[in-house]
This record gives sequence, structure tokens and C-alpha cells, in this order.
Amino acid sequence: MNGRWFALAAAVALLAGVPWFGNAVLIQFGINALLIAVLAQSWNILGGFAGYVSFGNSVFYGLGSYGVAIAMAQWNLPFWVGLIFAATIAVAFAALLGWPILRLRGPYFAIVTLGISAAMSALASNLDIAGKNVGLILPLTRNDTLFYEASLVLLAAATLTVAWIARSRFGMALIAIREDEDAAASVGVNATRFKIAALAMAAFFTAIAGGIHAYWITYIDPAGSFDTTLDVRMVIMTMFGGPGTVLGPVVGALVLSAIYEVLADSISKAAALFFGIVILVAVIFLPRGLVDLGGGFRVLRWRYFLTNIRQYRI
Amino acid sequence: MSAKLFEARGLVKRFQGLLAVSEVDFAIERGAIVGLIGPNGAGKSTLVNLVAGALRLDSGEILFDGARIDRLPAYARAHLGIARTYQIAKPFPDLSVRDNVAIGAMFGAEGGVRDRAKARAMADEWLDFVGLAAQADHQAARLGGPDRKRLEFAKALAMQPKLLLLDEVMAGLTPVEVEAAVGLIERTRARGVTVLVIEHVVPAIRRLSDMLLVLQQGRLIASGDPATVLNDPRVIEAYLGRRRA
Amino acid sequence: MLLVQILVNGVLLGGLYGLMALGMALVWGVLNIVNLAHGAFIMLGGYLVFFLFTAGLDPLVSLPIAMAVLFLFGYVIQRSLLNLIVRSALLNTLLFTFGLDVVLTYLAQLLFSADFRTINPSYAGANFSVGAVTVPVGRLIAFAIAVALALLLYLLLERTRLGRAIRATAQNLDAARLYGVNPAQIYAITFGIGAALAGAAGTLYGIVAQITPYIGVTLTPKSFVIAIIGGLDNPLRIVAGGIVIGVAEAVTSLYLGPTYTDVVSFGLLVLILVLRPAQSLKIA
Repeated sequence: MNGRWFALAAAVALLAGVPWFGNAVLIQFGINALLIAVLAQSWNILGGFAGYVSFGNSVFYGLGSYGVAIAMAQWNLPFWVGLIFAATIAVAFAALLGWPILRLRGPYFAIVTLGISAAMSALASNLDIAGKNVGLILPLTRNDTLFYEASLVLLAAATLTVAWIARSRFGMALIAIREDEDAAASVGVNATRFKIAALAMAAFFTAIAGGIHAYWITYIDPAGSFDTTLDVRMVIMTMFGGPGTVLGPVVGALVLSAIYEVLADSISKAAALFFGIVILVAVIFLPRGLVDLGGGFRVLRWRYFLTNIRQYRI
Repeated sequence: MSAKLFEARGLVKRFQGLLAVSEVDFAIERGAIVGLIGPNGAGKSTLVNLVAGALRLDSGEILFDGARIDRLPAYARAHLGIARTYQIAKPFPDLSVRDNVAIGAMFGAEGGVRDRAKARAMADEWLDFVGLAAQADHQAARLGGPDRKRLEFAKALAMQPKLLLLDEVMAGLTPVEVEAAVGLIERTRARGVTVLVIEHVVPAIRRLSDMLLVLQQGRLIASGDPATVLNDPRVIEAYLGRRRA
Repeated sequence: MLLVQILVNGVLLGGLYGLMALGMALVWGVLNIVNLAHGAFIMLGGYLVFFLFTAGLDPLVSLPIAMAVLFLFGYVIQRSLLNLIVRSALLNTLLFTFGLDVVLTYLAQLLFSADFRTINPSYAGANFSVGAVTVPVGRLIAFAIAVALALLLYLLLERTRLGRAIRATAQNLDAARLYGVNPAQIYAITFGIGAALAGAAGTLYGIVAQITPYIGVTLTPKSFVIAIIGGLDNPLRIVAGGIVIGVAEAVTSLYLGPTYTDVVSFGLLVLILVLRPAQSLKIA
């Protein structure tokens, strides 16, 4: 146990030190990787623990980007006020949206979420305050170290929150919902309330990630902010790393971001394909994610993969 | 405090026009064991679902502890102190047997205990009570049929209910296991829990119950003291007669 | 009169929408898999027929070819991959087909480029008038074929041995096994039929609209909504569901403008799902 904590602390220290020994390219890659890890970890709250697959969390990222951009570019407010504004909007939107759609289960919920980002993107490109199709330009601040450390702090906060969830009554409620929602209700779990709370938490962290990203790149538009490929990535990274675990989404996001970066350098066009292939392989061979592989493989060796298949095939 | 813990008045439930439960009235006294019997398809499970809140009434009233509960969702009824088991057991499959029961303790009546370690300790006590302590660390999905029923039982008890609804917990058990279940239900009552036992197996329930209700085609055709009810010619014809034929 | 014209367009396009949903509903009802790659299958059908068309083959001749190729494709996917995970949680099959969708979409982008493609035989742009209403021939043909295929599927399910085996498998896997049905085989055939229907839909879609690698993104949710409106058990009702959506879209873009069709169809989707309880969706 102590060894594990030490390893974790060393990993965090190493990540925090990147701006001091890494070059500009590595820092920029780091910001993107840390932010997408925040998205994966946020997705994990509802998707991993409660089993509700959302393909629409990018809407909170978009709202976060727009919240910060509107506050800074239209109202000349400082960044931190923009972040509070952005998070508030996203959480309110999650609560409002969650009320009708979190009553849907399984594929119904998943499919509804597919449409959210497209709808919000259409809305943003029709609103004056959001700069319509053109988008908004934010004030420029050149300090990648600051953005990097802010992203790392955000990821740490999201991960600590998930660590708390994994040990709390709240987390048990989400897990019970994932395992059998009817049985959870008859045991006394107010499923709707817990699911909305989980979505709101996800919205909070996702929106702040979007806000940091907007300020960092200083320019946003509807297509780039409500970007549905983000949904693809956060879902895949979480599933690959280990849904419903504390570190799985972070490991999955950092590993896949790194592989993607290498691939994008050499075979730029096929890099997106790679994500699709990862998910096909992961669902078949690693249904419980990368973090389950360690323990399972130690016990079963190669039979680990066979056992996974045998369990679910017809 | 009235002697009645539970009262159902004029319960009606239709499925696509078909009457599943029709004008059912009954009351349960505090500390009683009440048996509900009837042939297959008589509407027993529908009645349990109506009481537990898994289904909504078409008309009628349900009173629990003197207050109307028929518009409350299932989880709210659990908070008031109604626990149920499922005819086909519904464990949380990927979790350990202990955590299954701990979830009962962490929610259940009055919202349960908040602390997870405490809930697990309570779960171990209930597992011991139903005779499942040895399997506490097993994954719930791997339990066999009778053990699943025990788990359902322990999970419901961990909710600290005032009223426990047992939906066919004895179906498919061997005579020895039925005896164990009867003992378990009696010990549960001794702890102050009121029990409604839904069963297909008549002999066991006859011994166990203070009162019997007989349901046929959604109607309550007899109710009262077990010996009287089981000698009622309508009951013999409708239910027992057919079984003997 | 403009409204009548809009309605005619909506109904004709709606028939095609219904055909899109048929395959998804069949697979969903029988295998309990919501195939998120269904829209990508439609896209593949469209490209196949587009290339056959550039090689000089009339799309109506290519239609059965596309269906046969997609059938094989679907059969192999189910037999070799999906059958491995078909009994796991819905979440897993959902994710798997999602991954399949990503793979097919980007493969198409890589191989066929992101350019817009259209299949335009002489009749695609033709139209004739009935009174003041113009009837586009391409859409009329698409509508007729969609209805015909729905009828054929209905007859297949109700009147043939294979259909009975499929329906038995949908209702009770274990019981079906007892009657000598091999579920792995029936699953693969059913998934193949679903893909073949997507292939036909793709052919007709290419005649009335433009094909890109990304059309699946909107066609999958659309098929899903229609499957829900129509229910999973009756092909003809699914075509009717398609017509409902076709008309709703046409009316929306007339009165609110085309930029709002996404917002409206999303709102409609939520509304339908919330109002229509899921338990009424079991296959008969």
C-alpha cells in the first residue's frame, strides 16, 4: 500500500515537473492530454460508475469554452470569473437536461445524447452573444506553464473526487444503479437524484476543462467547441483504461493520447481509425479495462483473454 | 399508533385493458405474518409490485403507518420501511455478496446508514442470520438458486424494514430448505418485522401465517384464519381442487 | 399548395427513412443489439453503388448487388466478432458497434475521400406534375422500393421457416435451441439481413441525396427514432414511422428554416422517448 502511494506521488511530481524539463512541444501535448484526461475522468462518473453511456458530454466542454469566452471577450471579466460563470451554466444545463433524459435507460439514453452537441452547436451559431458562425476571440496570455499546471490541478481535483465517489455512499448508489436499476430503487436508491448529481459533477469538471482550453487557444467557434470527436475519445479512453475505477480513465487517456500523437506524426490520416480499432479490441479482450489486466493477467496469464471471451459469447 | 400497519383499499390494476388486480381490500396488523396464496397468474406478483411501488395503481388507496403511500415512488416507500424480494432474484451481479447486502443497509428505511464500513459490518450480521456468511466474498452472480433467495432475504432485512414482502422465496426449494426458510421467517417476525409471504407452496404457509389471503384471477376470494380459509369451499374449488385434479 | 408539395416530399423521403430504420429495428428486436454502425452500413451501400454507377451500372441493377454484399459483410461481422460479446451488457455491444462505426467512417474517409458523391441516373433529377404538385421521380422510386422491401421482410418473418426461427430466437433463446435452431447462425443471418436492408437504403439515399463518409452520424439516430416510433415488431409500421419523421422534417425546414432541423429533431427525439414508455417496445 505504501509503495503504491509512493509511486502515485512520484508520478504526480513527475507530471508537475514537465514544464521545467520538457520542451514547448511536450508542454503543449501535455495540456491537451491532461485536459482530455479530465474529460475521460468526468465521463467516468456517470458512464463508469452508473453505467449510463453518454455520447454528449462534449456539450459541457462547449458550454465551458463559450462561458469563458463570452465572459472574457464580451463582458471583459477576468478569467476566474469566466470559469465560475462557465461551470455554473454547465451544471445548470446538466440538471435541466438530466431531468428528462436520465429517466431513459440503456440505448435510449445513449442515442439521445448523440444529438445534444449538434443541437447546441446549431444554437451557438445562431446567437449574437456567441459570435454566431464566426466565434469569439479571447485576450491573449502566453504562459503555457500556467495552463499546464492549471490542467494538472484540475485533473487531480477530478481524480480525487472520483476517489471519494469510489468509497462513498454516493458511489455505491451509482454502482447499484449500474448493476440493476429496478433492484436499486426497491432498496431505496433515489436513482434520478443520484444520476442527475453525477451528470452535474461531470459537467462541472468538463466545463472547466473547456474554459481552460478556450483561454489557452484564444479562439473558439461552434464546430471546434461542440466537437463530437471529443465524445468518441473520452468514451474510448475510459473504456480502455477501466470504467468505474479511479485511475483507469487517467491511464487510458494518457496512454492513448501518447500513442495517438506518435501515430499522427507518421500516418496522420489513419490516426482516427486507430481509436475505433482500440475500442473493438478492448470490448472483446479487455471488457474491464487496462487496469484490470494487471491483476487478471498475473493470475491467469494468456487465459485471461480467453476467459473474457468465453463469458459473453453465444 | 393503530394496530394496522398496512391497509389496501379497492386496489385495481389493468394491463392493456385486462384486469390483473381487481378491487382488492385487506389490512395487515403489526407484527403479523400474513400469507398470500393463489394459483399461477392470480395476480400475486402484481400485488407485490403495487405495494412496493414498482407499478402504479389504476385506482384504490394504500395506507402505511396511517399515511397514503400509493403515489410515492419505490425508493420513497423503501425509506418508509417497506422492503421486498423479487420472485426471480435480482442481485447486483458484479458485486460481492457482502456489498449486495451492504447496499441494503446503506439505503433502506430512513435512508440507511451513511458509513460504508459500518454497513459492511451490518451486512455480515445479516449474512450470518440467513446462513450465507461463508459466501460473503463471492461474486453475487455466481450464487446458486437457493443462495440467491437467501441473498434477497438478507438484502431486504438489512434495509431494517417494518414490512417485508417475500415474493415466492420458497419456490424451488427442497423440503429441508423450506423448513429453514420457515424458521427464518419466524425469527424475522420475532425481531418485530411484519411479513407478507407470497407463496405457491401451501403447507408451509399454512403453519406460518396468522392470516391467509387467497387471490384468484385478480380478486380476493377469501381471507382470515388459515384453517377456516383453507376449508372454504370456494378456495378448495378454485385453488386446491384444481391442484388435486 | 406549398404545404401539399412539402407533404408530398416529406412522405416520399419518409418511405426511405423507414427503410433505413428497418434493419436497425430487426437487429435490435432479435439480437438486442442497438447497432450504432447502422448508419455507416448505409454509407457503405451508398459508396458501393456509386462506384458501380461510375462503372456504368444503373443503381436499380446494383441494388440487389449492394444488398448481397452487405448481407455477407454483416453476416461475417456478426459471426466472427459480435457473437463473441452478444451476451455481455448492453453497454458493451453498444460500444462495440460504436467502435465499428468509427472504423468504417474513417476507413471510408481514407479510401473514398471526404468529397460529396451523388448517384445521378437520368431519372434521379426528373419529375412530373400532378395538378400543381411536382413529384420527383427519384424519390418516388425510392419510396416504392422501400415499401416493397418492407413487405418482403414482413412476408419473410411471417411466412417462412427462417422467419419463424428468427422470431423464436428473438423471444426465447433457450426454447429456440430446443427446437434445433442454432442461435449463432440465426444471429448472423439476422444481422446480415439488417445490413442488406442498410445496403438498399444506401443505394436509394445516394439517388436522392449526397453521400459522404459522415452521413452515418445523422442516419443512425434517425433510424433509431423511427424504430421507436414504429415499434420493433412490424416492418410496415416502421415505414409509417419513417413517413412521420420525413413529414416532420419537411415541415420544420419550411416554417423554421433548415438550420433548426437539428434542434427540432433532437427535441422531437427526447419528446418521443420520454412520452413513449420503453416497455412497449418488446418484439411480439
